[in-house]
Amino acid sequence: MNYTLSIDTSAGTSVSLHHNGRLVAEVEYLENMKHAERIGASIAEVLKGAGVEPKRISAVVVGRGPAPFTGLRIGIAAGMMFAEGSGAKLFGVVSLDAIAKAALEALAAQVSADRPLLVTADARRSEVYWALYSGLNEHGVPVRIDGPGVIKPAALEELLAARGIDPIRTQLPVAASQLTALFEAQLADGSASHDVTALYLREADATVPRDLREAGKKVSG
Amino acid sequence: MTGPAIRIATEADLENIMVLEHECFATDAWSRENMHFEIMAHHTTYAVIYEDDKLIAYAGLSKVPGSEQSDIQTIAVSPAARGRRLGKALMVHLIGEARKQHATEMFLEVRADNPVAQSLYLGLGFEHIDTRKNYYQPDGIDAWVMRLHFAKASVGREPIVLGIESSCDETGVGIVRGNTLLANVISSSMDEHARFGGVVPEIAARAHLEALQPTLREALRVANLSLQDIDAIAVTNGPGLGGALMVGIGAAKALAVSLDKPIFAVNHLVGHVGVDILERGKLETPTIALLVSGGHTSLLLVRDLLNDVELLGETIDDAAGEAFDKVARVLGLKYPGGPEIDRAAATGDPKAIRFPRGLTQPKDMEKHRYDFSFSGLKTAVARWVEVAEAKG
Repeated sequence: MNYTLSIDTSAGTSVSLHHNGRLVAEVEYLENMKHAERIGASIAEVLKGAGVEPKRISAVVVGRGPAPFTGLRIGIAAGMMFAEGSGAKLFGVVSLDAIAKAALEALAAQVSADRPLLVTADARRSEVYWALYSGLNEHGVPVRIDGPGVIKPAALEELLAARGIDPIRTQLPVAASQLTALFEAQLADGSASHDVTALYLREADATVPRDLREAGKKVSG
Repeated sequence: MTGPAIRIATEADLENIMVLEHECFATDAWSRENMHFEIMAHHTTYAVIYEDDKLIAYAGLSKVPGSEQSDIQTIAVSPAARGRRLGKALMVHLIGEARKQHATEMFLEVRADNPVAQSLYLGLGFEHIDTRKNYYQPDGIDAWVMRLHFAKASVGREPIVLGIESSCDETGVGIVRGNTLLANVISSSMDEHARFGGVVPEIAARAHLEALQPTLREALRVANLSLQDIDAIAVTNGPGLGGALMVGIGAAKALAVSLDKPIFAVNHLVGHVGVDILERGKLETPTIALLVSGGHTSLLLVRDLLNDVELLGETIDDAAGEAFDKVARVLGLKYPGGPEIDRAAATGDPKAIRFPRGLTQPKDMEKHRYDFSFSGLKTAVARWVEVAEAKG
């Protein structure tokens, strides 16, 4: 009997609990803030809602983003620690892949390598995260043919036009239950991964101060 | 409901104990002489419970200094007072005594024909590890030898608390048992900030996420505990860098849920003061604490560490350490700046340049009686360097 707890904080705060692939409880806040305030209570709520003790969870799946910084880390940190405490195995999935799987299941017939699925998500600072998919493989895992990347929308359009691609588009928010669906397909596929590294796709905002860069010059003796 | 009043036995209790001894152990009571010796011995602790001036229960612990083992030598509850958990209360008390005396395990023997006592001990975490044939004479009854490992038990000992700190550039996981520090493991991202001349919040927050799991595991290894031994989680909830704090808070909350243990938020500044308890046992209150670091320069009045800590004053601009870092940067010295400036200053002339000291004017004493200021000093150093450079 396998329980899977999935956590995604790449946009809102989303937590779900599945039993052998069937959704038994979920909590979802679409609001793109208050992740640290909500994460603990959300996990407790899905467990309590289903009457499941932490030690019965066999897998914890976290969304790795891409996402802008602060919120993303909270879900990954929480997933990591829940796995430590419960003894569950820890897995990571790319949140955009989870969105793609849900979208491709609805659109599969229309999507191909020539007419791929474009998944985008808000990256703030007038940029979007993006990835392209040619469809689902035989186990139902989305086949990513480009991305994930971060780009200005205009630049993305130029890039697509230059490659002669007119994609089918989705920008659905990610739900934790979609992570589980992807994870189950990856297990069947053999591509499930323990990598839970956060995908920021941007360097930390930091510039070496001018006076420090020139420090060598300034101090002469 | 309060438990029964338990106190440590003295020689004056001997007569009462002997009465109860004979009442409870008709065939194999200890002699008065033996009992006297045991009560008075340095390696024993005898606990008694009275009700209306009548002794109704007692128990004895043996713990030889230097040994990690302890033994329950005897336990007796008056037949009229049974069924009131007095035996359990005495056991919990003596387990606490044994722990205080640094025992790691406890042994006892119990009659094979006494299932009530056996279930009491099993409920406290004792295991049945051996059976001694015909141990109780003259009845010829077997004895169960039972053992309790303290680290695995959850009663009668001081709570084990695991704390997570992520307010600045260090990921810290500490584990204490009562006031005893069992582990304090820190992963610092200081090196990653060095080329920026100060802590970069986003770099610090990223480093916390990466350090979390290894730091937690190392702390448990050092303490020789598993997460199942932890009774409560504590986490810094501020003040500090928002993005950095939230990594620790998210982690701590999930850990608490996964272990089904309580979680406590700790103010970082009060935590600094609390360290004193680990070093000196008890914090005398009221006390005034001065915290000085790269992030803080604060003056706290502590009336009660848990409930009553007042911030008297703090820096109105840079923290002292921050000012050191910035001055070091201006002078082309390395990060962190404190030790570098300290080293350079050791051979300097304290009277060479007259730098200002913040908040020393009479008018500052009204509004900023207990506050600090270091940015004026920092600016003065920067101006002095500029002027000196302009002159060549």
